[in-house]
Amino acid sequence: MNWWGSSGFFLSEAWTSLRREKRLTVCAGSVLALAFFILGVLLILLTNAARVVDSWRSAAPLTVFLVEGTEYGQRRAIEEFLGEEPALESHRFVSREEALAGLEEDLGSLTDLITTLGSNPLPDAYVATLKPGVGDTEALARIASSVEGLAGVESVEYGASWIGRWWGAIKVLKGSLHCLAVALGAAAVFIVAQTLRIKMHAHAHEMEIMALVGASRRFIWIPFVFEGAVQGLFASIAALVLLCASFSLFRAKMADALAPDGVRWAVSFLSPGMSVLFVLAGVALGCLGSLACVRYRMRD
Amino acid sequence: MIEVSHVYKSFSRDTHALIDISLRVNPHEFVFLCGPTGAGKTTFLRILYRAELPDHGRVVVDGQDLSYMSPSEVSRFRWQLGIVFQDGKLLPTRTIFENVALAQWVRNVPRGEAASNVAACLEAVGLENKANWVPLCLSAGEQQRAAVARALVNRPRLILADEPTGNLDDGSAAEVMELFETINRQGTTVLVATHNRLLAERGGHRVIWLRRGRIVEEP
Repeated sequence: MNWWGSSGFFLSEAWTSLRREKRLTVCAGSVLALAFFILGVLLILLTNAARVVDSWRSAAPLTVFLVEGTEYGQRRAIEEFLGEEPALESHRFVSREEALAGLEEDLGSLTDLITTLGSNPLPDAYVATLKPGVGDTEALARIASSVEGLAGVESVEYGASWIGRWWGAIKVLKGSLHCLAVALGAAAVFIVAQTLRIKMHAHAHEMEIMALVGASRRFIWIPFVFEGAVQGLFASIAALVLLCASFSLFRAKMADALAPDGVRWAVSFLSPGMSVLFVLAGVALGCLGSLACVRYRMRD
Repeated sequence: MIEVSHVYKSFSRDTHALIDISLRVNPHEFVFLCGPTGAGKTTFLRILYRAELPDHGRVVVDGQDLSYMSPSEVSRFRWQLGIVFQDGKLLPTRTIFENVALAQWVRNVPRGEAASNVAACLEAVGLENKANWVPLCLSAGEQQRAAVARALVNRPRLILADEPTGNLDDGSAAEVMELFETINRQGTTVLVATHNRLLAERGGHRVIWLRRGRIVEEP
């Protein structure tokens, strides 16, 4: 088939059909756009929630408190261990004086409380940060347990439990998103297929004419595939525009929801690459719906 | 050009559309298939352009046995035919040019070549000034001439016309029949199905009479 020569005809047929049944096109397109919009919302929530939890986790220090009077050799061994641990991004030594200064800065007007203690109660410590993407709480527990076994270490603190819970929630959200994505994708395919089924029924006479002048089955059904693709394209673009507008409106609220402790996190929209993929997925689903309809119809 | 032997076609146990039809149409011949409504003319033509399959019998058109054909073979077979219907069967949303060009596009004829072929055919049927009109803006006679142009554009060796003047007034019918005569004089075989006895007998061509699904000697 001369695809290049015929593509103008196919596109023109698809466009004419979309314009001819405006009401049907708008109804089906709106439902399709809504499905894509919900998918986009979930995608934004997931990517931001994952990023925020990841940043919490990587910012959350693994604190190794040292026994008072730890020898230089013992500290070297602890430093070497932390430096060689692949899950840790960096570590630094925090002296008890530095820790006290930090505590005084945090407490502000309540500094007098510390002075009543008489002496500095804080121990020397190493504070380590995790590499981004390390979300395995078991790995954290393993590191903590290994460090605790080193000479000169009094105790190790890390935020494993709450990070683990968040990470677990993200995993559940991810799983739910995949299920929802499949369901919404199937719904989109169904919508396109049903819309085209109605249109094919309405255009049965024209399809018959084309067949009678010698059009192959492929020549007859390709405009419908183009139509499905165009419908998917417009619906996904509409959903993206709607997402962008909604995102601008609710950005602050989303940021608050994701950071309940009052810390302001920059909530981001879908990346340009992700947006292009989103639109391409819409086109692909449109094509899939039309192919499903065409296959069903051409069996007759 | 057409060889039909012992063709039967039924649509139900009691509805026999064609009963033991055997006939032969020679190349370059102009033949009328004449009979009243319900005689089986349309069914016979549908078998000839492979829209229907006979229950029994053999049909050979332009050397091709129509019994066993894949869908793509049917498409290619129709490229070699020109078919004209009573209602024209033009795509309502397409211009006359596009309707005629469709027969070329489905054959993958290059756009430029298709455009010149279409222009020549539209000129032959006197519609060169209405190429960009949609069918609804044309009279019934003009629509039928456009349908003839579409049938001609692939330069077929055989034209099958099913009641091509059925919806036309006398003047338009005469114009369309004159077109068929011209086409036939240029060497194309023409088979016209009509219920109009006067039309069939006027040109002095062979007339095959069909009644209740059978070929009969006299009307």
